[in-house]
Amino acid sequence: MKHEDHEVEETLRSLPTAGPPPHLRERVLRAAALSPGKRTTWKLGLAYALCLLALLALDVGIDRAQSARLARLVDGRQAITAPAPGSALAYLRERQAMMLAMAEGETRTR
Amino acid sequence: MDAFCAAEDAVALERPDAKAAPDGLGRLYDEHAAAVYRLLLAMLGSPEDAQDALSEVFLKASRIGLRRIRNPRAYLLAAARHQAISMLRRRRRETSIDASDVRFFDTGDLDPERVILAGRIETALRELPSEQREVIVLKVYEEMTFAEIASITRTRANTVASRYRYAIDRLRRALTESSE
Repeated sequence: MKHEDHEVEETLRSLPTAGPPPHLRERVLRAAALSPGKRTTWKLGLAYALCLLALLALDVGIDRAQSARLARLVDGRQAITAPAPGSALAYLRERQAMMLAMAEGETRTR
Repeated sequence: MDAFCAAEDAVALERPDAKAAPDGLGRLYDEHAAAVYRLLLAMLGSPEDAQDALSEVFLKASRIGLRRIRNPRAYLLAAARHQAISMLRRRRRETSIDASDVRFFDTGDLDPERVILAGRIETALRELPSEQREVIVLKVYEEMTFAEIASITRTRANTVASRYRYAIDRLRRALTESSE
């Protein structure tokens, strides 16, 4: 560095620079105390994400358990499907016949 | 290139420091507010804007988490610079301010001769572009190397050196003219 540069720097340093007003410190600290920290927001976000994940896992678990239960009930066969609206009468007849057959079977057992 | 990247670089993802006290922000303010304000005042040329920017810089630091800031001085100066650039961009879109009454030096306790000297330097500083003023402040008052300034301003050290050279020549001319 040149000697003249050093002199200019020293002249600049010899003059006191203006500082922030004293009341600003209190204002900054108060504002910081009132504003939520980034970490708090981050933790809140993580908590929401974990809750959603837990709900999703629960939903998937319940769905799988229900599917397994249904598979056990129908013994591997295709599940009973609801009748089409047009064949409702036929379905009722069939169901009634099945109930009668079952009742007869129970009577025979006794 | 975004100047704020330099500020983010100064934030380390370290484990919390056991020494960090709850009143960390107050201590950080006491240690660095004067330097940050000096840079902001030099760049913005308005005490009101410099105060607003100073508040914003410390609030952002508080939000990030003081324990994560590895190099507070580098972080705060880079964040201050970023804040000042944002405000200057906004100001260009809105209105320009008259910086002729802005006092960079505190001349309250100075004798009349030094008050005149301070005034001449202020005039010379005002005539410099903002990027040269910031280099002067960081080099002269913060005693940073060109490499350190380059990392904060995200420019090459050669660019910083040439900005400094141009600014110091202008200041020297102003001082020489005033002494003649």
